[in-house]
Amino acid sequence: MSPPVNLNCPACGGTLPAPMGSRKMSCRYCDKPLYYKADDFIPRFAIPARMKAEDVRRETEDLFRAPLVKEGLKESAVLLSRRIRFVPLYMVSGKRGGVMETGRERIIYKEVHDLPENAGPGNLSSYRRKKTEIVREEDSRVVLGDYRYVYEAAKIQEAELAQDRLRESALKNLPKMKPVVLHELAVEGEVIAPDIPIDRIVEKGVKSAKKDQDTLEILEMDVSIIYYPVEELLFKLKNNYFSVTYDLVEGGFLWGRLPCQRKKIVMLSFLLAGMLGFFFGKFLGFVLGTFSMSKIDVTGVIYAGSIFFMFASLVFGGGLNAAYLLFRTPYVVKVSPKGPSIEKIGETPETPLTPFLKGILSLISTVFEGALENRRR
Amino acid sequence: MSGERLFISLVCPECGAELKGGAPARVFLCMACAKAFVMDRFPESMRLIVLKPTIAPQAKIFHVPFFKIDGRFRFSAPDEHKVRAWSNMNPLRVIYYPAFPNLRNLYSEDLTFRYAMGLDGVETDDERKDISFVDGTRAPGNFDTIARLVWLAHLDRVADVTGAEAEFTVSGVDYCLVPFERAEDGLKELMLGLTLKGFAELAPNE
Repeated sequence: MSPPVNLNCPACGGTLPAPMGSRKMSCRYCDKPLYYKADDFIPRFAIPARMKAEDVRRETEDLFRAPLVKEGLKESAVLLSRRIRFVPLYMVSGKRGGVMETGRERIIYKEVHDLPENAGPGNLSSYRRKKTEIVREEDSRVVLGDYRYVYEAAKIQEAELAQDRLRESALKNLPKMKPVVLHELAVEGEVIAPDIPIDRIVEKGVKSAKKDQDTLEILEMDVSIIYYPVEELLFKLKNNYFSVTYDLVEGGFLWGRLPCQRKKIVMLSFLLAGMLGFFFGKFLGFVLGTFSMSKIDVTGVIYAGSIFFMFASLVFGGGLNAAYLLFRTPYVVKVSPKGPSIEKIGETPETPLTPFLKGILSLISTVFEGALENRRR
Repeated sequence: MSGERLFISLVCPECGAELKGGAPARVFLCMACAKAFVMDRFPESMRLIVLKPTIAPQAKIFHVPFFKIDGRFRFSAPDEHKVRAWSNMNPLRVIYYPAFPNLRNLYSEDLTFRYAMGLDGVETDDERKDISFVDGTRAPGNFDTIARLVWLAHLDRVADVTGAEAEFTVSGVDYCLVPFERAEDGLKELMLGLTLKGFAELAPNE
């Protein structure tokens, strides 16, 4: 059982709740300045938002015009809500020091007599050579200084790719951070609670600070939580809802999903399948022309017709099938700090063309095997 | 009510004046008694020293906190050549160790070395009225280890310290406020006239 603690104001005796932001606070009864000295206290800071509503609007319009995003989204989508959220990050900082054994490699030159086996009596100096050798010498480096690492504090499913960006941006903006009181922050937006155990973060921090060197000692370690402001924009398009999350410190979108441009994908699939069919048909024409068609290629007409047939089958079979699949498979535009990209969010459906394609492929493989068999004979 | 008191009144236990420090501070100051309180070890205190600038300021002065560590350093090593080389070095005087987050490792910007080699015979400002200062947000307890490592880093510049035995006995630690001003491309400290690039965030907001 933990020892009893006293949470009374030393000036007026009023019972106070433990602070949630900074150790320095005022008594809510007598207004005297107080310092909260509990060891397990975690200071909380927030990085102030820098981006304005105008920046968010402009960048959202740009995002809606991105090539992969559904056409006319800007006109047809309805903005339902804007919500500021505070993403928590752990900051582990302090002082470390020690003597790091580094070792040092040095090149030395040695004089050797490189005598050939059949060397006769004579002047040995003509066989003298300089040989280089690398030697490792003891060396050390004295380390004494501060360390500071930022880690994610809450698992946010969609934010996976954005966590690195948030950490980098938080480190860059640390000088601007301000101590915050949680209930005041909660007035501004939703404060996401950390759900990653702090012990795991301390362990990570110690490992990073010690750089895997037992000789480095942690002289001081503090853990604090930094709240990073983002803004979630929720849109409605017909009966579908989608949202994107904007970085209010550095600008740009962090995560989210948008409806994708299907027409262009289908057209692209036609083009790709057509090209693939053309080259594959060419290849088959070459193979079959060499090994089996040579006997019936009397006028050249049959040869050209065969190629045309294969080409057409692949274009219409493969192309239509690919277009159908792309049309029916649920795709969205995934928004991440790297930009928008296509993401599949459901299973690929069955296609009516599949048996036909399978037949063609099986025919091709039979012909191909036959050709190889002929060659083997 | 019994139990460990988790709230401490931010008033000087000697004169009753309000202790000065911002929200992130770990060290609070009583200007009247010239004392600095590391709150983790309250009511223990250390002497507060405010240095007078040796260089005329061009802008508004603010003060940056350092732990001023006095003491004696002893070393030995099995290699006599190294011991002789180290003995010929200029000894470090007082160690000024930053009480603020200091992530710079460049020697040219390492004030601890510069002050240990060059800060001598400084005058103190005993009035300490209305001075602006940066909060002390670092409060390490092991000043002997810190001072020993500063010395070893000093010796390492002449000969590798592998195998050296070293010990620093602390005789006193003061909390020292050093005058700075904003410069065009960073901060300028007003004791040796060094300009520190990239430390601008350290300056208190106007």
